[in-house]
Amino acid sequence: MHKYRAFVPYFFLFPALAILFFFQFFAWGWNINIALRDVTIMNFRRAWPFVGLQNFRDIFTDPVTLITLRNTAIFATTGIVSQLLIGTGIAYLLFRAERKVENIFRPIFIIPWLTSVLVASFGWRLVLGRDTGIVNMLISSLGFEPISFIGHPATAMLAIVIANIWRGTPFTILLMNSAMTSINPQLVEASKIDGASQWTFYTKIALPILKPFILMNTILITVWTINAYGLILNMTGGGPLNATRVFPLHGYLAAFSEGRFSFAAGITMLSVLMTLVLIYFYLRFYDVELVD
Amino acid sequence: MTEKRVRIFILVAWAIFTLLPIYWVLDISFQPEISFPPQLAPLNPSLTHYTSLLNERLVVTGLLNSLLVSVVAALVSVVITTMAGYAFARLEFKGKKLLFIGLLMAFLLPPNLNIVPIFSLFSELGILGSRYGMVFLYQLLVTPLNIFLFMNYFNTVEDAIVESAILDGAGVFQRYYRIFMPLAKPALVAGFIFAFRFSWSEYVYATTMVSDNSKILFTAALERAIFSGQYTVNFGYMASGAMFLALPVVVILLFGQKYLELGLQLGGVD
Repeated sequence: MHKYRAFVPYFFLFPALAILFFFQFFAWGWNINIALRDVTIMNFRRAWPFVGLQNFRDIFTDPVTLITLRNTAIFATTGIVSQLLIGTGIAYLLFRAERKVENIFRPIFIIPWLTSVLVASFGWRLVLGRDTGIVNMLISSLGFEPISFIGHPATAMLAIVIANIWRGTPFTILLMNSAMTSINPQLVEASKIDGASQWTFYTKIALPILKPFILMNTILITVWTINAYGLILNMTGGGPLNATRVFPLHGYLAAFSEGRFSFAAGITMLSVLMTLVLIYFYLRFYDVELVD
Repeated sequence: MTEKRVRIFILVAWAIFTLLPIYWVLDISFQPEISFPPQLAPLNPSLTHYTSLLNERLVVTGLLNSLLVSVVAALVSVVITTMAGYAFARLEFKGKKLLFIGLLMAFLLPPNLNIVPIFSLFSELGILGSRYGMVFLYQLLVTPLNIFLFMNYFNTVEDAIVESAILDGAGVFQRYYRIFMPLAKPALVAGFIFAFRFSWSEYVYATTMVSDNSKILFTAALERAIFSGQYTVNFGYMASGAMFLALPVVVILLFGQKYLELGLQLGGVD
């Protein structure tokens, strides 16, 4: 009954998928080409000499790379752990709350997800600002000197971590909340009748059901957190003294403020590979049967 | 009852944390003189930061360019993603599963990751810094999300409607634009707003790819206006500019909330 020629579905798919193919998969190929040559701002429009793996040697012998890896580890671990704990906690509280209460808080909690990275950056820069911030208002009312959060290495890291938690947590709240809603209420009742304690219910029944969601969520926020350099670029530009220069930002700055395109392409390749490994694990849990 | 109070207290605390930067931006944007300590609420609210921001020529150019790029990008997105969503939801073809996995991968890969090769490719193609190049580029941000949105929406259309259209002799193309497109009107609005929002507030590509002042996009122009002083940062511009950036979000919250959940379930962070 559904009669159409075999090429028709591909006709419908073509524009969207061609664009994605060009920007993702084709771009990687092009990126490998750049990474194996020596392209800088000097010869960007001229011939690119082939240098093999030299750029990767440069990346791993660059002392700044080590700092950026350490920064990424700090930024990602604190960000991911906080987002998971806070997000799941808030999701649970929303789940337990009455309908009326949930309807008040839910729209508020998704606001950061909807705003752009730039709004998150500007907002937190103003909140934490030395001359504009409510935080420094409190600090000075306690009798201390106001501090410039993005002006000092340790506090700059704190500032970007907070802004990232602010922006990233809504996703976990939504995902975990809908996961909890999917637990069959009859199951809750049945466990009560069986006399299972709350603790047994959570650890023996709820947790196994939620486990795949927690796993999916963890992989997704890991992918987004380790690659989220837009926020940092705008808030601190990687400074002060490279204190907030994370690995992908290292690549961005190498290309666009230092003109070392091939070095940056090498970093892009490493980031993409790292991300693809994470995505592979994600896809193994994802229900692809959905489309069939 | 005390446990319940604790729970509400935590929810309120998180709501305050969530609203704090938004409120603070709003508060600062209406204070004509920003000095330390800042006011908790503007004592003499004024629109001076907004009006002087709109008197910056570069910012106005940026607003107009961003409006053009975002509207065209959103229109293109709606056309191409309804087509792809229709194919995934309603048509049978070889390699569906494989292409769907490819789509998921494209969705999960942060678009900012590829800026180096894309910059170079755009330079080779001679479209670096052109507005239509940016329209093309911004499809990257929103295509997977919108395909999911329309795929899900088209999946909910009842088979009976489609069957009767087939009996009336409607072919695969007629079904797309006579049945599915009209039925999807609300989703079309949601998809348009999603796409518009991404392009409107995009920052990393906008500041990197466009160097020509006449083609500058809003986020880049705003950034320049904020840091135009040699040693000072214009916080008034920062706050009022953030409000311009948040405008589409307000529209979404007011009109598109119904469809938001669908998009949100599928995730996506730019």
